[in-house]
Amino acid sequence: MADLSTDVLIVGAGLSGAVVARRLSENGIKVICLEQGVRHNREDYRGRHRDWEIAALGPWHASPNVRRNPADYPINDTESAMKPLMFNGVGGSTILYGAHWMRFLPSDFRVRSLDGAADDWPITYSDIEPYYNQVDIDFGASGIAGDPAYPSHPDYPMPPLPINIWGEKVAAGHNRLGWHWWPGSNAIASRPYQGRYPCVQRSTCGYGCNEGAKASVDITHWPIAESLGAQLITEARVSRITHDRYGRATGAIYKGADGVERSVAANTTILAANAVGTARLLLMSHSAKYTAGLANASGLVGKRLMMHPFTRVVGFFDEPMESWQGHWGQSLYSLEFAETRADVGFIRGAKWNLGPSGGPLHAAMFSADGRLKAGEDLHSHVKEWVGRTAIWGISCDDLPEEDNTVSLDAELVDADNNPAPKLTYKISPNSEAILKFNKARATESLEASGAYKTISNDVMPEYGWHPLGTCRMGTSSDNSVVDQFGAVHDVENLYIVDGSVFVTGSSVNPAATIAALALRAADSIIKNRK
Amino acid sequence: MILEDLEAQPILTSHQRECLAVVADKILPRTPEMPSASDLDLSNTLVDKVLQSRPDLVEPLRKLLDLRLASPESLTLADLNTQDIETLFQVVAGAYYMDPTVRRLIGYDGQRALTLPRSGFGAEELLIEMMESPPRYRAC
Repeated sequence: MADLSTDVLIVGAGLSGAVVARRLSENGIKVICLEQGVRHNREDYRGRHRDWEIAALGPWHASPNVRRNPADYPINDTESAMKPLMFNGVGGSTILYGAHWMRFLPSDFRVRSLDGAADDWPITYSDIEPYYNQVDIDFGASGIAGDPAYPSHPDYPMPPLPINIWGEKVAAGHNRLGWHWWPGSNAIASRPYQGRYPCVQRSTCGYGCNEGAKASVDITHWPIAESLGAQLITEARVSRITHDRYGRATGAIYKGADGVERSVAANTTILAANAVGTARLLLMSHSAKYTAGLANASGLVGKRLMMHPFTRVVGFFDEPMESWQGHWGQSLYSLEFAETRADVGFIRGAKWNLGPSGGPLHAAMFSADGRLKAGEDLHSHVKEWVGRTAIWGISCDDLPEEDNTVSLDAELVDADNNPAPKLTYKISPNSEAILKFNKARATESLEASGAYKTISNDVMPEYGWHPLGTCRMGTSSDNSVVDQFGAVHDVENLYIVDGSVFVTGSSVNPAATIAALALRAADSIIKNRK
Repeated sequence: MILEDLEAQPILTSHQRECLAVVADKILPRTPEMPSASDLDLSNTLVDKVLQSRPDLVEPLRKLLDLRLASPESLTLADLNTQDIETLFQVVAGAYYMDPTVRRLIGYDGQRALTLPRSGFGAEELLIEMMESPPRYRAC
C-alpha cells in the first residue's frame, strides 16, 4: 500500500516538470510532484547586495559540486571535458539560467538528412512550432519576430530589451561585415507581464532575479498548477521508479526531509529531472525484470550525452559603457555560423550571444591563460575590463556520441547514499573545429565593432550549462528510449519530458525547446486519457 | 561550517590576519592610482564581510594562512596550488572590490536598478538591414 496516490507523478519541479504539471492541472488531472530541493524566495537572491559576486562563486554557483546545497547531489565529472551546471529546487535550473529564449532551427531536426551525421528527430520544426508559440506566451518572452534565420512566427508577447551601447556597437560591426545579428530574445519581461515586474537591467540574472522579471517556473508555472490542485512535495529525493510484475511503471520511492522513506503510487509517472538526473534515476531503478536499468531496452539510457562546449571572446572598448548593467540574458545573438557551411572542415556550427561584462570580481577571476593576474597587472586588468567590455558567448552544436555518457559512480554517493552520477564526456574533433573557427570569427566581429583588444579561451569547461540527450526520442526501442511524445517505448505508463529526449542538441539554448516538447508531451498524455 | 560556528570563535586570529595582510598586498599592491589591500585594512572588516557571505572559505583560508604564518613575506603565488589560489583570490579580491573607495576609483558604482527605456531597443535603424535580408535558414 503506497503512502500517497495520484493520477500523475512528476519527478522534478524544474522547467519541464512545471510545464507538464501546469498543463495537466489545467485539464483537471491530479498531479503530485516530488522535488529534492526547496522553495526559494526572491529575497534570498544576492543580486541587489554588495556581496553578489562573492556569493555567486559559492552558495549561488551554478555547479552543484561547488554549491553543495543539501538539495544537491554530487557529480563525478573528473572524466568530463565539460562540467555540468544545474540547480536543484522549485524552479530547477530556471532559477539561475540566463533565460536566452531560442527556437531550434529547422535543420536541427534533420542533421542526418542534411549533414550525413548523427540522426534525424522523429519530428520536424513544424510539429513543434505551435508549442513554441504557446511557451513564448506562457513564459513571457521578449524579443522581436522577423529574424531571417528562422521561419516566420508570431511576435513575442513583449518588445525586446535594450541591446545597450555595446550591442549597438556590435550590431553596427556586423552590418559592416554583412553578418547576421538579431536583438536578443529572452524569457525576461520588458513590460509588466502577468504579475511580473519588468527587468531593471541589474545584470544578475544568473544568480536569481530579485524582481521576478526573468521567467523562472517557480513564478510562471507552479503557482498556477498549485492553485489548480497540484501537490508539490519539496525535499523529497527519489531513489527509484517502481514497476509492477508486468513491468509497468507504478510510481516512485522517495525519502523526505524527515529521513522517512515513502512511496507514491501513480497511474502515470513522468521524469523531469534533466539529462543527468533522469538517466541516473533510470539506472538506479534496475530490477530483476530490468537488469540494465529501467527503460533501457535500447541500451541507450545515459548515452549520447551532449553538453554544448562553450567559450567566450571578450572585447575591450575605449569608451565607458557601464557594461556591468544590462540583462544576462542576451543583448543580441548571431546565427551567422550556426548552419553547416561548405569548406570550413566541420559540420554544424555555433550560436553566439552577446552579454555584459560582469562586475570587478568577475573580471579579477577571469583568466585566458589559466593563471590569475596579480599585482599591477590585476589592477590594470580590472580597470580595463569593468564597464568597457562586451562578451560573445559561443555555444557549440556537439553531435551525440555513445561514448559520452551518464553512468552510476561506483563509489560516490549522495546524502541519502544513492549512487552519484558519473559523466564521461570528450569534446569531439568536429566540436573542437567549430570552437576554433567561431572563436576566430567572434574576434573579427569584436574588432570590426571597435574593440581595441580581445581575449578568449579555447574552451571553458566550467560552462556546461546544457546537458542533453541521454534518453533520446525515436521510432522504436531499437534505436531510442522514448517516442516523439516522451512515452518510454518499453515501460508502460512512464514518460520522460526533459532535455534527455533530445536527438541532437542544436547550438542554441535549449530551454524553449524543452518547454515546447514538455507541453507537447502533456497534450499527448491528456489526449490519450480521453 | 555554519554561521553559528563562526560566531562562537574569532573568524581569524590576529596572527592569521597579519599574515593575510602581507599576502593580500602581493595580490593587490599600492599603485599610483589604487590603494593596496593593507591601505584598506582589508584583512579585518572587509575580509569578515566576505567570510560572513562565504563561510565555506573560512577553513581553507585558515589552513592556507597557518602554513605561512612564520614567513608570509617569502610567499609567492607560484608556491600555491590551484585550490589555494582560488581561495585566496576569492577572499582578497572579493573583499577589495566590495570597498566603496575602490569601486569609485575603477568607475564602478555597483549593480543598480534602472528604468527601461520606452523608446525602443536601441538599434532600430541598424536592424532594417537584417530585416531586408533573405531567409537564411535551411529549408527541410
